[in-house]
Amino acid sequence: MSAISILQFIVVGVSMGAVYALIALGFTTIFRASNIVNFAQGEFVMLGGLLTNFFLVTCAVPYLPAAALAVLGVVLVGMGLQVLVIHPIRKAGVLIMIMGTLGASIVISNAPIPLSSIANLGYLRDPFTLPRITTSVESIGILGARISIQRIWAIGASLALLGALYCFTNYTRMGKAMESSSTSPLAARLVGVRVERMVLYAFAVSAAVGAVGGILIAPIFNMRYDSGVLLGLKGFVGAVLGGWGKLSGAVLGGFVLGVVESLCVGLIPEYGSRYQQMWAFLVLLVILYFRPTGILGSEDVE
Amino acid sequence: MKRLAKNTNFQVAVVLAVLPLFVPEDFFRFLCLGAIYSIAALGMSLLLGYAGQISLGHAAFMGIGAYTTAILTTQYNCPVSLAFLASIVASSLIAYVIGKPILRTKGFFLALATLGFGEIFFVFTSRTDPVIGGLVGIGGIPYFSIAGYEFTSYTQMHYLYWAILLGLILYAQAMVRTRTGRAFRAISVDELAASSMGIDVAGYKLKIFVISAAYAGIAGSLLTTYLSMTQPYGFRVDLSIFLVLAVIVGGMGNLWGAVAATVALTWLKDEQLSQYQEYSALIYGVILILILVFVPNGLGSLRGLFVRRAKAGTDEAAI
Amino acid sequence: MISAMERGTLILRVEGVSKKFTGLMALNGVNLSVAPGVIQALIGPNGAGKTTLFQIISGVLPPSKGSVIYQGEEITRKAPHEICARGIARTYQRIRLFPNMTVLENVMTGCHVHLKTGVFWSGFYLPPVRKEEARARQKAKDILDFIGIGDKADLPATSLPYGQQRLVEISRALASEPKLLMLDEPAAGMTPREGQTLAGKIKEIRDSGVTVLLVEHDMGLVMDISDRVMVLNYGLVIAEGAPVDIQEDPNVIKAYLGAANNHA
Repeated sequence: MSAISILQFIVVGVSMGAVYALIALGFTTIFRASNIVNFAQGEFVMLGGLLTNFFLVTCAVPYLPAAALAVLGVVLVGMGLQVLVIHPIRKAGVLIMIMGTLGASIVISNAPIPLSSIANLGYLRDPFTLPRITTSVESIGILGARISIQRIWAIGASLALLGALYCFTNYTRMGKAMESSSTSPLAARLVGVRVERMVLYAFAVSAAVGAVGGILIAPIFNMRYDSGVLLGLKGFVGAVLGGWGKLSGAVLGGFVLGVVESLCVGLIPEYGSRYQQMWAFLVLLVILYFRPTGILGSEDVE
Repeated sequence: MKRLAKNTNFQVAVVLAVLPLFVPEDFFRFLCLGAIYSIAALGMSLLLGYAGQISLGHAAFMGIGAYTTAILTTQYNCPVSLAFLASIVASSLIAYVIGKPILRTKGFFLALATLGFGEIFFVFTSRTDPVIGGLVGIGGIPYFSIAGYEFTSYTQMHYLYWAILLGLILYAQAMVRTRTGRAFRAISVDELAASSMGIDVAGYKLKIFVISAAYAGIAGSLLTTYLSMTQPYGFRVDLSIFLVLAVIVGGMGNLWGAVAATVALTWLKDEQLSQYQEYSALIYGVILILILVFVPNGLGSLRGLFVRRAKAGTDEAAI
Repeated sequence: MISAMERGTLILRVEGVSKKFTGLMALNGVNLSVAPGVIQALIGPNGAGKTTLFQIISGVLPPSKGSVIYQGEEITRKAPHEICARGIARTYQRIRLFPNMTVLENVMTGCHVHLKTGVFWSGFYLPPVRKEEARARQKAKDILDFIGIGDKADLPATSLPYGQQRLVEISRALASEPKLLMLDEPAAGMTPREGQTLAGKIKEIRDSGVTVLLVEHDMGLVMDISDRVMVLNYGLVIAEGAPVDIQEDPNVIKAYLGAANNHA
């Protein structure tokens, strides 16, 4: 196994990690605003890709408007989820909340099937990819490994979104309001923060972040209407791995998970790629055993 | 004698015993399946309904039971009853091994960890071909038999499964009546106070995890003899969610409620929804959400809507 | 200075215990010795570290420094359930009853340490198990009668008025047959009459051979029933002795007045 192929695996892992990082950011954003873990987060990613595909194919909209419309659509779905499911059950306890977001995940991931029949858009059930961002250069080389421009976009986007979320949370009034509504809802209410609104906005932001992730990753891998479940779970693992509750932890954990997963696939002879969907969860069990607070340590917003 | 007549266990046993006299054999298809899943749901009821531990990976323990029986009977010509016992051991053992680290987590994280375990099981069984059979699974599992007596007809299986379930529910009811039950209930609301009262919280959590996995293993073993085959898609997250939902619908801490809910949900899923083909999963998800929003305390709580209940006291102060 | 003989007969010794939270030194080298069979009070302004000390003794929190010795055995980092098994029981500042059980069931959880039925065997409900259950049930009833709320046994625990919930918590602690009973503000939220009854009960508990360590703000109660009083402020012991001496100790008065001034 040459050093260059190891590097190649790392490169692939970093780009996959970018998507995990975006999903993890989504989880963390909602958690920081509401102490809720949204098990349907992965569906936002899937929908981002699916809706973009829909706008491109059926509505013949050019790429960027299609992506923008898709993000908007996913944001509406995310807000709908908060209003219809999360808000009614917000007082019912952890178990009901988990089941609620899982139920939402089931609904969203299974909706495309009947919908595609009704609307006669059978292609919505099939695996799809999106066209790549076209630039003059297809890929660039780093120390002998090749990385496509698409992957660089994915990595750049997740870092940019991390920066944006960080500034938003710490420097804008809305961001700080979102933070305060989970750390001390009573105090937040007393100073006029509308706590329920904050949770709604958190869902909107997470949906947008997830959708962007989906749009960036769909050109690289095949996605399908049921891809969201696994992606969501891995994103959650990433957030735990990096340090639960921290935005930086989410991004770090996402990237680390991507790299570790890729290295497992590449370096473990024979079984590495056969069990590729399993490594992320083994990493989860290992981290929960040895360092449950994650790499950067967790920030329990309780 | 009169006290016996009022006992729920007795009443249900009598009804189930005479059912074959009145009901066509077709009816037993879902009732048998319901019984099998109810066994797993009972374990879930103990773990979740009493001890408050959220496991979203219990389908994997059913799967471990199923595959153990399947492999032992088809590959090693093991008698079914022996394979059955081995299944119980296998699922209990694996639950013990992964339970120790996993149960240190709580709430969302325990849910994630158990989900992860379930996924590991699914990936492993669906991608391993030798012996396990990959996506195709294993076929040709013989009927359940004890000392030569084979259970081949639906009626026979009906009596077998419900007899086993009755035994297991009696066990669970007894457990709940002793200090074990109180310890579980204490752990589910306040681990710290429970610990201060001398309850070894970690030890109890692990034991109930193992016991509930044993129940699941029993169910899995019976399932594979019922279907005479086993494959990875039968033991995924959706089954784990199904079991949790059954406990919620039946009412947390209500053992017969979990059984009733499981049978009802099995009927709903396999008889009613499957007609709708494409829509079935979607409808199931919507029903799940509706249940959570409108009856999160189980169907038994609906009774309270019609009965004025005295207002409970200072619940918040106790936290 | 504690003589060698005294050291041997003390039921509880806290030696040099410090506890640091991020940015806050909650306890700073606290020494405490409790003789068996007495009622010892621990008082001090809010935030002095009294509950933190309780948390450390009962095993809920580890100290940053120092050790806790109970009946000659070091119990410093033992788990709470192990400490309970050795004979230390406690109640909490904010009531921690189990809301999903009745009053009787709550008290029966206190019996847990002395019952022997294992998890796996309990499902078989053999006669020894049944007998054990019946005995535990009777014991819980007796304790509730002793405390004075025997008639409330089958009510949901959290449906009782606040003062009676405290009594349930005390009953639950007594059910574990402790040699050392730690009460954290037991009179809080009680009417003066309830407080009087409580004082009498605590004395009866002491007379039956149980050592009582008491955190309390109700000075009347403290002075009335305590055999010894220790005063804590900002994590340090500032006075120790008989109630009558503490009342006149200038340091203690300053500490309380100082605290009052801070709140003015």
